[in-house]
Amino acid sequence: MTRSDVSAPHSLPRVANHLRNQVLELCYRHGGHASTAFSCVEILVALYHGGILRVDPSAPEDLDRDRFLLSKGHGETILYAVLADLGFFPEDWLWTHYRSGDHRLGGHVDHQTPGIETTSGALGHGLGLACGLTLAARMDGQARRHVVLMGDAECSEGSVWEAALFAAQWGLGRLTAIVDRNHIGSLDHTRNYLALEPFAAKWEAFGWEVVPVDGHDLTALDKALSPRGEAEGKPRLVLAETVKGKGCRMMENDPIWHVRPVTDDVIAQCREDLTWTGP
Amino acid sequence: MTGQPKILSQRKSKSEPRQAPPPGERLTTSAMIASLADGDTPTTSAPFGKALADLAKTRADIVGLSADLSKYTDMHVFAEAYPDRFYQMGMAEQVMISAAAGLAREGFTPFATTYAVFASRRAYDFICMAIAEEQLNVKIVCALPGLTTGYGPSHQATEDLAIFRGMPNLTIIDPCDALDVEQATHAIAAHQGPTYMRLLRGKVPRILDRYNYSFELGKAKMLRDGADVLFVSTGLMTMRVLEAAVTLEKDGTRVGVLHVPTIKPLDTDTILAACGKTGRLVVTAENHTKIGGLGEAVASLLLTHGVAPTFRQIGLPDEFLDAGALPTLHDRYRISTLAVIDQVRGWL
Repeated sequence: MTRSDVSAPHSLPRVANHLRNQVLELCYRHGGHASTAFSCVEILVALYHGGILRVDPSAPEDLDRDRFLLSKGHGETILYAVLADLGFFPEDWLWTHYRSGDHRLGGHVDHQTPGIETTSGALGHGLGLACGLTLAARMDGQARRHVVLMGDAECSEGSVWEAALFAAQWGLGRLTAIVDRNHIGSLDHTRNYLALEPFAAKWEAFGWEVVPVDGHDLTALDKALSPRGEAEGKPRLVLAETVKGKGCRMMENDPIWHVRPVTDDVIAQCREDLTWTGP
Repeated sequence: MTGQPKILSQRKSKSEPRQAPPPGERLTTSAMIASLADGDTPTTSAPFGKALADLAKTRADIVGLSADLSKYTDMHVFAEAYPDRFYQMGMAEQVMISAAAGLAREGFTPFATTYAVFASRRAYDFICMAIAEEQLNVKIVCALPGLTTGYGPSHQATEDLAIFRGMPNLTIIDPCDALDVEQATHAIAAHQGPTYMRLLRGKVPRILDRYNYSFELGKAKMLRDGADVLFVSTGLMTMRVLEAAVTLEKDGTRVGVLHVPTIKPLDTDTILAACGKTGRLVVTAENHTKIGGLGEAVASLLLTHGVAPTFRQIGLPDEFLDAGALPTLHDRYRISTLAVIDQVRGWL
């Protein structure tokens, strides 16, 4: 469970593109929130393939593992694709079990899936849960990290700010929250209903160390998410500026794609957009 | 917040049922929050807090959390004994429940306390999805269940059982007295799984040691038997019906009392057997709205199994209740001992 155990950094953009294609195919076959997943592809690749998280696909319940919580549970397809790619479960599960009614790969993330810590989909849960996990680690004298990925629209939930107050009060330095700042909720741009700006200043005012980052830049993400080794201190908020629907032009920054299914009339264009053109 | 028994006790002796003050005589505000004990009934102070602190001596996994209500949920006893294992979460029930779930995931046994209204109404989604769905070992222990405060609807959890009964995986306990609270605290700590317990706090009456009784999770216990009326009761209403039984016996009415401290899972075998004895009136009694609590649970059970005694419910009305002194309110809403006696006499 060291960072060198996983893929070399230069291949990460290619991995991200591969996984984005898998998300597209999953959503085309079985439904799912494609644009929600697309905005956080690089974040998850940086965490898992980039080796930020110390996790072991052959021992997903290892006590020393870092804990990752996908609080924005509507982005389940990209987490499933990542976990399958790393071998937490067979890749064919993606095509045979996603939303098939057998609990292996649920419609939103489910704690029964190997490699997934907690059920999500009801928003505003992950940060508070991570506070508990971090307290437990402190009492047990364990050095693991705890990383939570939230959506920006999820930060409309008051529970997020309850947890933000708590984490700062108790100096939870081993807790890192990432906000996927894609600017769109389930129906509209956040600026049109509950504007979040000045967003970074809000987190700073709540006692967090705020690290702004381009959420699609794998190198920048690696730097922003790297461990500091501090047990106590300020919790860290990585404010990842992203594009909802990133990769498929028709989806990018268009709120309707949070729920619009990937249908026969658009799949060809989406596949073409995701054709790998990188190095 | 400690009790002022003289205000609550309008009686000259313990054999005399409690009653509301005469018209025109107004109880002081302190009667809104006073102990449920009258002057003659022995009490135990903070039975939950003491039991939890006692458990923690040998259970390093037990941690305490409270949403800024430790003193008023008797959690302060634990907090003072084990400050390193106590978290004052502030008035933030959602993060309290989420953090408790996180602690439980890592093998701790969190006891989280607040008032029943806040756990059931505000934190429901968090209890449901973070704790119950994953069957996490969190104990939610809540003061002011039903009508145990005179502070009005904001603090009166008259529907908490109805709210929680629909939640899969959740065990629900409504203890009667200090002995029940103590033993139930130990029992739920030994039980693996999410649990909601209604809490009587402060100076809590201690009456069940007069009976051959011990708390067992999931078990209903027959405290006394009688051929004419069977009370199926839970929580503090078991105290009331035991008092009512004494008076009704003087009328020549033979009264049984089946105490049901575990609301879910219900002890169906014992309840069916007791209610299946022909010829007696079955009366459920609960400190809770008649909707969705013990009464409807028992009614559904009996109907499903073709057991059809004459059946009546004692409980709170489907209303937001008034603020005022508790004895006045218990009489007004028909859960005082006198009101119980009155209702049963009317049904016989």
